[in-house]
Amino acid sequence: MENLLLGIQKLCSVQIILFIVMGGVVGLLAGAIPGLNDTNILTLFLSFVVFLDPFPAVILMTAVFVACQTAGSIPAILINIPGTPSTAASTLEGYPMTKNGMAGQALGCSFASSLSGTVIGGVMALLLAPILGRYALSFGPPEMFMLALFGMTAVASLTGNSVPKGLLSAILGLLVGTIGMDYFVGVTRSTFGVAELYGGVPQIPLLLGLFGVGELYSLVFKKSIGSGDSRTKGPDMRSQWEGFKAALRYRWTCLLSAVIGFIIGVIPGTGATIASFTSYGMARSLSREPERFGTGYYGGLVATDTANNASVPGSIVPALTLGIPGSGTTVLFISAFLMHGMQPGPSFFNSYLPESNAIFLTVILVGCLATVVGMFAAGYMVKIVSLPTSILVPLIAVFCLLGGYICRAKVNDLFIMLAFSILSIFLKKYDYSLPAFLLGVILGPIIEPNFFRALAISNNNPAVFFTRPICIVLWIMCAAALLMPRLMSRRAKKQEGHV
Amino acid sequence: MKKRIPWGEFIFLAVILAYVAYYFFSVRGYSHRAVLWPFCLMGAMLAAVAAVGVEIVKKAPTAEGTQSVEKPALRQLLLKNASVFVIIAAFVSYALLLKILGLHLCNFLISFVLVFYLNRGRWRPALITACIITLSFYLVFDLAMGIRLPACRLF
Repeated sequence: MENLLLGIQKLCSVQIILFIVMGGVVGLLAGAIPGLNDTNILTLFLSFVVFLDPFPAVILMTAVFVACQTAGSIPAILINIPGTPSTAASTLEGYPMTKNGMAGQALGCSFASSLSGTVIGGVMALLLAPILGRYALSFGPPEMFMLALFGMTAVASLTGNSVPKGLLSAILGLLVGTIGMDYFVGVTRSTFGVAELYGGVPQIPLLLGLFGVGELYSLVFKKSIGSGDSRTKGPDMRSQWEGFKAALRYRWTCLLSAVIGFIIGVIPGTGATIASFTSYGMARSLSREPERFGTGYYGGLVATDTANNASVPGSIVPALTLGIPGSGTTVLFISAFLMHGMQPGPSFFNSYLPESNAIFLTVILVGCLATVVGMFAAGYMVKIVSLPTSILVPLIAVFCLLGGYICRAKVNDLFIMLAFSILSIFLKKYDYSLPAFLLGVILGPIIEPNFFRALAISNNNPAVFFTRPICIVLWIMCAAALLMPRLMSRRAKKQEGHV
Repeated sequence: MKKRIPWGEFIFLAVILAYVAYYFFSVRGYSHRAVLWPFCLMGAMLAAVAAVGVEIVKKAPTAEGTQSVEKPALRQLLLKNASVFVIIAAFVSYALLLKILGLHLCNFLISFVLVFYLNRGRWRPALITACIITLSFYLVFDLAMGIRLPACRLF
């Protein structure tokens, strides 16, 4: 309780409140733009938050992250184009409602669901994160190594269509993560003679290359970011309020979806997209009127949007308590901490418990803010969809170039950014998992020292990774993560056979 | 049955293997503590590349099953992806000119070039957009945030 009050106290400063509002508004605008997801926007932000203190930086990023999820549903409902990939499930019920002339009701329902998702998820995070944090303190180097390995395996196998390709991306990421000076001997590895790589691959050029510039290459082929019609009419407040009240009638769907969303958010490599689709399927199978799903049914929209938003605080929990990101976007949170010389993980969570609580409180606050602002501004935000790429492309290009350069003021960083952007073209083209690659690079410098420390404490006996109870559990979880896609596809095939 | 193998992906895998080979030869002879982990990863990488290779061949569509599509010539391929090359060229030029022209002038030039290209040669919107972007970046980063942006040799 004391830490919770300290967390509230941390938020009570003009600068932090300003950042919450600013992040919320930027997140809402960015989330409403199809093609630009939360990861892209946070990547652009990351190069500038380096200049802030770590706490305001992460608060700003949290605000953007949460608001993006809420706003992503607006274009999904109004024009059938999801603003973020995780809101794809919202089109299943939202767009049919718009076609039935209930756009306002659908938006109101979506905002109410998003609000309840963030609030329930935020409260669950506040309650469960300290328990997980305390438990994580018993993790030694072998457990930390295994945990990172599990995170990598889960992301590699669950974020793409092919497990071998996901693993290849993760291993490539780990290999790239070893570039630079070695920890123990002090020799340089695979630096191509570039002095800027001696300290390892710089994270901001890497992220900007993979997500910022990488996105530009696909944007230039489009005339406008969405096929949205600029004449699309915005919904009125009255109908939105009607939808808002309607969503509150589905209390149990809402609660169940929030719990599902939160749990899926906690599992590394899953994220909001899987959460919303799983919750939709669950709501449909438990519903008394499953035939209404897909026709513009409130219950379906409540399930998708609640789970989607509840997964956000869920994905932040393992990032803070274990140092393992729950989703691709939370990798950026870890990056932000690492850039400020702080290592997220068990000791971090216990040392900075008020700050961690403040982050979860920000999730709840931004959820409320995004709902209020979203309801008032939804009509205007839909116009953003018709923004031509001829304006967006140079804007993102300048942001990336400026971001890539100003952190260290080294021109070679721009070439490093370009190299990773070219790599991202091929990774995307051949369907290799980009989050797995990124996670490999970020976790690489954490895995290697823990690997050697674990060997050191066991007199170079590799059995240490197989004999400790937590390690055994993590091995089983790794195996489950690897087998999950195969089991799921087999089950889907069986179901198709029955139909 | 003959299969249509996606050779482009195999070339991509070959490039990855070439990088692994470079890494291997660049760290050969180092103390085992410095190379044990990278060597483990290299071994895993070889196994992963082999697994992906097998998967690609297995999943490749049969030549009879797919419609015979003529392979695009290299020139066509380059023309199709011209926009990507323009962006890469613009970025490389930006990086090379940054120290000489300074950040703001470079921002102006890259915005102008990109809008000019994307608007198919219409210079007026390009000029207006470039001016607005440059000015807003100057106002936000230089004046409001006070971030020290790089000065140039010219002025």
